[in-house]
Amino acid sequence: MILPHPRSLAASLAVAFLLLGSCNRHLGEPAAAPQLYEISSAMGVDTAAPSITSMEATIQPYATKLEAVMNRVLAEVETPLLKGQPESNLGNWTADLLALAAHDLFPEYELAFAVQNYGGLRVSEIGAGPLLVSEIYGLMPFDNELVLVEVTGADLRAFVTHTLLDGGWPVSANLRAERQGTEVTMTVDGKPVDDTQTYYIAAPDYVANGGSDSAMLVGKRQISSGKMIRDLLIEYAGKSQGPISVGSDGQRIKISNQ
Amino acid sequence: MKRRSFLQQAAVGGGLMLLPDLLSAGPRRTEPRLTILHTNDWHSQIDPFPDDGGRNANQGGVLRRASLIRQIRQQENNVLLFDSGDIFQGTPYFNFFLGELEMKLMTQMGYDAATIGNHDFDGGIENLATQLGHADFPMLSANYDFTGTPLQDRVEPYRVFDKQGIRVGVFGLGIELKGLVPAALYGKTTYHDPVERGNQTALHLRTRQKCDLIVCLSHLGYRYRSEKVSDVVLAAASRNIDVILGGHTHTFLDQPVTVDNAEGKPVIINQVGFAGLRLGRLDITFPEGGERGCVACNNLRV
Repeated sequence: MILPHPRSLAASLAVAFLLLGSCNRHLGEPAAAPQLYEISSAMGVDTAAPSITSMEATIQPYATKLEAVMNRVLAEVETPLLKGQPESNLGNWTADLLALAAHDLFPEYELAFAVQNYGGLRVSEIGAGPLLVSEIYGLMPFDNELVLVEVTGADLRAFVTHTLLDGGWPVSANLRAERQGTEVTMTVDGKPVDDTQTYYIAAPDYVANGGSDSAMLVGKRQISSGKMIRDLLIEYAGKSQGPISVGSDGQRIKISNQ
Repeated sequence: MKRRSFLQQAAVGGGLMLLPDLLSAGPRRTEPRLTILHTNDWHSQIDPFPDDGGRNANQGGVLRRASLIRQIRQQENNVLLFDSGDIFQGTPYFNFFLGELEMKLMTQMGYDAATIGNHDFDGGIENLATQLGHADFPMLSANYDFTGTPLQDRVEPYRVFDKQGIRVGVFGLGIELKGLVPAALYGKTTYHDPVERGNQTALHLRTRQKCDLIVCLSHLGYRYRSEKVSDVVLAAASRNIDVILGGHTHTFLDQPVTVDNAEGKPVIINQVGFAGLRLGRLDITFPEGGERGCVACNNLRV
């Protein structure tokens, strides 16, 4: 089962090719008939089958341990939170919670904005109704830490340009950025970005370490919070005043390809 | 060259089927026939999605999938069950138990093989090796070199399955990890070009292992706007691969796609979304039988 070293494999395969010819199927060309099954609520669980009941028994102790933690209600969602680009209410809600957390965690630094990589939001929607801890785990399953990254205005501009070229990432309300074709403009707290000034961006350590092609952040000074993003979202969602109803008016991120 | 249609239309009007088609209700077939079942990116979705009014509310769930697979196995003799990676990450089951339950359940469902997705490194390469201790199916990758890592004796490039005389060669291909997965998580894993390794492995399976069908379990992604290697890019540059069962891009293909390979022969690509919301099935027959199917072979013989 172990493949030989690639070069020797290539050589031996070349020989095999000459000796055996290229076509060694003894059954002839295959034909395929596809089918697709939706695993829907209409599909039953075969509880009479021992193989299925033994799977249930496998799951049960794990599920019991999780339930106690996961079924806690954090808040009420009034308007469904939907993921989308260039801007969405799920992205805005997430990034604004991270900005709130960053203000509390890093009081001695002036935050430029908080950002979350778009691909790091792992659900397309959080529906209306009670918001459970389990849903935040679904949204943010990764064990990523919130960090503060120290950058120059020029670095900030390069990073934001990258997020715009990637279709737009969730950002907190402090940032306004627009891309028209390759032309990018942006403001932080309503002010233009000064290339020589120092800025502080709150981001997942994944992004700060270059994830999602954020190479321009690699090697920049990071200030650690010691807190996981998921745990912060659980904490700050739990502090919501009244039902959660977040909008997305397209004022944070604008992208047009003309 | 003689052109033939590898891929037939979906069994019923190309639509989705809620319940398994009782194909075996007819007389027992005698011709060789293989049934491939596959999932990808099931992302620790052990329970059905919560009843929250969301798009996938109440859908999926591993016990339903297992029941369906069991039913198909009762109807078909030669079933192979594969997964194309990203088994881990997405529900608290992973955060709390690090993939142990996923591996136990895939073993109980009778998976025959899987390949490694980028998120399968999320608990670190040591954790993946540890959790594979709960799996009795092989992990396949022909383009990750795990020499000097905890996975070096636990991952194989390919397996050959013999199903009543049908020889099925199955190998895995993984996505480039740099920039996608923190380096600390994948450690000394070395990535090699999937097209080069895929073609080498498929040629080996065809010529040395005399496989009748060659299946690639891919976590490269269906296709990209850029030149980045994908299932479509791989298929077009390939020789000897018959079927690519893909993952990573969470693509819901309602019908598999065919792409002509480097020799103008069709390659089937399929991908079934994510989270165990769908199970894909390909029933493979060899209608031309014997040597007749071996078009233009004689020209290549020395």
